[in-house]
Amino acid sequence: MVYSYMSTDRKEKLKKIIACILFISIVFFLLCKVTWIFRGNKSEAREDIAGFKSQGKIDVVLCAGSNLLRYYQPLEAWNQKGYTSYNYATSSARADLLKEYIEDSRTTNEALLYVCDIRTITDVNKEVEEASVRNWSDSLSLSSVTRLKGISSFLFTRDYKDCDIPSFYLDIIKYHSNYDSLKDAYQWSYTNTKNIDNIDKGFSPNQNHIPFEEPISTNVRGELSEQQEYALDKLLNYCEKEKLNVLFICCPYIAPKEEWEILNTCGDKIKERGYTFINFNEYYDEIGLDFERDFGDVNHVNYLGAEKYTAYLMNYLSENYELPDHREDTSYRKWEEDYAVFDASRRQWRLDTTEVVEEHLNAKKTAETLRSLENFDSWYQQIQDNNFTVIIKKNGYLEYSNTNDILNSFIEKYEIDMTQKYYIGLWNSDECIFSTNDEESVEQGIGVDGGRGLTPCIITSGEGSMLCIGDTDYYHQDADIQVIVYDNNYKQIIDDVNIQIVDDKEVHLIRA
Amino acid sequence: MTVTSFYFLVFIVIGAAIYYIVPKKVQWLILLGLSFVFYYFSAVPYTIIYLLLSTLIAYITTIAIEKYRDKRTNIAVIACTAIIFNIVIWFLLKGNSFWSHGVLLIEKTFPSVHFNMSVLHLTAAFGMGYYTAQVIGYILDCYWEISKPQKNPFKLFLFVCFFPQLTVGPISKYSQLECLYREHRFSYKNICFGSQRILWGMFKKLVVSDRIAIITTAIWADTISYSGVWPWIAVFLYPIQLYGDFSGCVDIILGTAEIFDIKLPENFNNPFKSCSVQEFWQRWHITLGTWAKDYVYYPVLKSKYLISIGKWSKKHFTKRIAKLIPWTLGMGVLWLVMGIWHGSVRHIAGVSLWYWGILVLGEFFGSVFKNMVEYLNIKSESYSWVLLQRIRTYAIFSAGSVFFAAESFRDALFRYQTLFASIKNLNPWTLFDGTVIRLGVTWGDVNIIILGIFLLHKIDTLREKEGMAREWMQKQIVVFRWGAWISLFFLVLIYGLYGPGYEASQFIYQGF
Repeated sequence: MVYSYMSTDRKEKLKKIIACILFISIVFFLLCKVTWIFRGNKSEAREDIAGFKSQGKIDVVLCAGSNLLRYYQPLEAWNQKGYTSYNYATSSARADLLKEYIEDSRTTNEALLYVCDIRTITDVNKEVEEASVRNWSDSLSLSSVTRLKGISSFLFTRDYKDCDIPSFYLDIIKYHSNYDSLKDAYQWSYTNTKNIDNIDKGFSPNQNHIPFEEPISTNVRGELSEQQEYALDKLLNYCEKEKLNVLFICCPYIAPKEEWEILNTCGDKIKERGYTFINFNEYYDEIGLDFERDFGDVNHVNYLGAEKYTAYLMNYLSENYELPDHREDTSYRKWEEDYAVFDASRRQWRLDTTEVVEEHLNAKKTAETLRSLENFDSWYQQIQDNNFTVIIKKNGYLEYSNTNDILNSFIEKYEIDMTQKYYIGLWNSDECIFSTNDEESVEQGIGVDGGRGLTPCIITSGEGSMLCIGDTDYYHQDADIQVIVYDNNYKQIIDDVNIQIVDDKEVHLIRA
Repeated sequence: MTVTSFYFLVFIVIGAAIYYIVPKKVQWLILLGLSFVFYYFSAVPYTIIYLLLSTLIAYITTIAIEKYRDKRTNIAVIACTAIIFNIVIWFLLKGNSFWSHGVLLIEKTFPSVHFNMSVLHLTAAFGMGYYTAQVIGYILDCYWEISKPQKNPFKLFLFVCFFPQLTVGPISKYSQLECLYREHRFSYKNICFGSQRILWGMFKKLVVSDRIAIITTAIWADTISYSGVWPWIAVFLYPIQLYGDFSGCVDIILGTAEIFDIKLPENFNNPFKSCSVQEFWQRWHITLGTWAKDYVYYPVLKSKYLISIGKWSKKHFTKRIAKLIPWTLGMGVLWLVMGIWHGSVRHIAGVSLWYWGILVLGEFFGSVFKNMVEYLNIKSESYSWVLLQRIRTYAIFSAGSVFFAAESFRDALFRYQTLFASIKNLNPWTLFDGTVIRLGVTWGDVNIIILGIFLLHKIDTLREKEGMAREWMQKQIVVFRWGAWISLFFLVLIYGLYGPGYEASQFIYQGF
C-alpha cells in the first residue's frame, strides 16, 4: 500500500536498498558456509562445539578445556544417573573464555546446572596462544555474536600486536589455502552444522600413562594477576547477572604449589559470591586416584583416572542437585543408542590403557632387577625394552676380534665400529635416536615428556669427554664401553655399567 | 597498510562513511585527514615532511609566478628553480642507484677520494616518483597558464598526497584532480562500481600476478635446474605478472577513488592488444607517458636548440631524414626521463635505450617494412597479421622487461646470457613431465593462471568495446550479474595469495 504511494525516485531508492541488503546477505550466507569447508573439521573441537547444538535438552553443561574433555564422561553419567550432560570444552581453552562458552551454549539450551572447571585460570596470561581461542572460535559460525565477543575479549586483554587480528574474526583468511579440503566430503558436511552429531558428548580419552608422585597440598593463598582477577570477575559477574546455577570445580592434576595457591584464592573469591567451589585435588583418596596408574600426562588423567573421576563427580552432582532421570523417557532414546556405541569404545579404551600401564609397571620391575644382573647375555636382553633409553659411549681403541657372539650382536645392533676410537649412541629399543663413530658432541632430550619436559642429555667424545644426564656428569674415564640405561617413564637412571672385554672374548659388566 | 590488506578495506568503509556524513564543504578536509592516516600506516611517518616541502615549494612558486607574471621578473627562473629543487630532493632520496654508481665510478677513477655514503642513506617518501611528477606538472601548468594556482596550501597538499594514488599513481594533472575540492553526493552506483573495481584489482594482483610470480621467481632463482625452455617461459610470463600487479593495484586505487566520487585518469587500455611499440606506450602506464609527453617531449621539441637542429637538418638531409632527426632527439630525452624516473641504471637500459632504439629503428625502417608488406601481398587488415603484430609487440616488451625483472644491471645481463645459452638445449618435454610442480605451484595453480589470463583478456576486450566492463555487466540479468560478482569474490577469497603463511608481496611499481 505504502509502496504504491511512493514517488518513482523513492521506489528506485527502496529497490536499491533492498537489493543491497539482499546481495550482502547472500554473500555473507555463502561466506559462512564456505568458511566451514576450509576449517580443519577433523579436530575434536569442531565436533564437540558444533555438535552441541544438535543434542536436544541438556541438563548439565560442563565448560572448560582438556581438563574436562579428558576427565568427565557424560554418557557414563547418563547410564548411571539418567541426567543428560555435555562437555562444552575445547583443548587449550583458557578460563577467561568460560563466560562466552556458557553464553554460546545458552543460545540453544538452558541447562539446570553449569559446571565450570576453572583450572586454566592459572594459564591466563598476556601471551596470545592461538589454539586457546581458535579451537573454540573456529568451531562456531561466522554469524555468532558470542564468537565475536569472545575473540575480542580474548585478544584485546593480551599482547595482540604481532597477531594477524582479521584472521581470528574471518578465519578463512588463515585457512583459505587448505585446497585439499575441497575434495573431502567430511569438510563439506559442516556446511550444515545442524547435522553434526557428537556421540561422545565431548569426552575424548587420554590413553597414555605416566607415573607421578602425589602432589603436596597447600593452604597458602596465592596472589592473582590482574588478568586472572579480571577473568574470574568476568565469569562470576555474568553468572550472577544471569542468575545461573553454577558449580565451580578444579579437576585433579599434578598441581604445582604456585598453581594450587592461585586456585585456593579463586576458591575464596567464588565462595564470597555465594557459589560452591570444589578443588578435587583435595579429594584424591575419595576419588580413589592412584598416581602411579591413573595419569596420562602432567595435566590429565588417563582413561582409568577418567573413570574414577567421572564416578565421583556424577555421584556428587546427583546427590547435591536435583537432576532429572530421563532413562525411561522415550524421547531420549538417542542417548541410549549413543551410549551403546560409547560403551563399546569405553571397553576398548580401558583395555588399551590398562595394557599400557601394565607394560610400564613391568618395565619398572625389570629396571629394579637390572642392576643385579652380572651376566652380559641376560642384561643385554633386558635393556632392549622400549621403555628404556640406552646411552652408549666408547672412548678409545679396543682390542677385539669378533669372538663373542652376544657381544657381536650388541656391536652390530648399536652400529658400533670397533676400528674407530669413538662412539656415541642413543637408542630406544631398535630405534636409533642418535649414533656416531666420529669425535662429536650431541645434545638430546630423553625420556617421555608428558608435560614434564625431556631430560637433557649431553655427550661429548674426544677431548673434554662428558656424559651428562640432567645436571650430573656420569662419565667414567676408565670405561671401555660405558652404557647407561634410563627409564623413560619414571625418568631415572636404572643402570650405569662399563662393558669390559677380557682376553679378547669375555665380557664383564663393571659397576661403580 | 597495503591496498590489498584487510585493514585497507576497513579503512575505506570507515573513511567513506565519514566522508558522506559530514557537511559537503568539508569533504576535502576528510580526504586530507584520510590521506594523513593512510600515510602514517603505509610509510615511515616522518617522511611526510618531504611531501610538505614539495607542496610548500609548489605553493610559493605558483603564487609568485602569478604575482610577478605581468612584472619584469623572470618567472621562468622561479619555475625552473622550483622544478630543479624537486628533482634534487627526488634524486637524493630516490635516485640512490645513480649516485651510488657515480660515487663508485669516482672512487675507482680517483682512488684517493672517499665518500661517506651513509650520510646520504635517507628514507624516501612514499610514492615520491608519483607526487614529484605531479608537483612538477602543476608548476609548469601554472607557468603556462593552463591552471590557476591553488590559493589554499592545504588543498594543494591534498592534491599532492591524495591517499589512493600514492601507492602506484596514476600521475594526475592538477586539472584532473580539481574535483577533490568539489562537493560530492553519495551515489549508490559509485559505491557499487568502486567496490567492483577494487575486487577486480584484487583478483589481478592476488590470484593471477602473485601466482605467476612464484613461477618466474623460482625459475630465475635456479637456472641450472630450470634451463632450456624455462627461462623463456619466465620472460614471456613476466609481462602478464607485471600487468596483473600494476594494473591490479591501479584498479584498486581507481575503485577507491570512485567510492569517494573522484575520477582518476586511466592508466591502462588493453596494452597487449597493441600492434606496435608506439601504440603499446599509449596503452601502458598512460599517465606517465602523457606526463612525459606534455612536460618533457613537447617543451624539448619546442626549444630553440631543437628548432635550430631541425633547420640545420633540412639544409643537409632529405625532407624525411630532416624531420626524423629532431624527433629522434626529442624521443631520446623523453625516454631518458622515463628511464630515470624508474630510478636505476638498469631501467635506463631496459626502458630508455630499449624503447628509444626500437622506436627509432621502426621510424627509420618503417617505409621498408611497409614496402615489404605490399610486395609480399600481405593483407594488413587480416586478423592473422594483426595477431602477428601483437605477438611481436608482446615479445619486444617481454625482452625489454628482463631489465625490469632483474635485481641489478649485472643480473639482467646474466639473464640475457642464460636466455641465449638455453636456445642450444631447449627441453620442451619438461613442460609435460611435472617440472612445473617443482616450481612451487600445483596443476591447480596452473589452471587458475590460465583462467586468470583468459578473464583478463576477456574483460580488457569488453572494456575497450563497451567503454566500461561494469556498465556492460550492469545491463545483464540480475542472476548472471550477482552470480559473476559473487564468484569473483570467492575466487579472490579462496585463491588469493594472502593471509598468514604468505608473505604479502609488494607491488612492483610501489617502489617508484
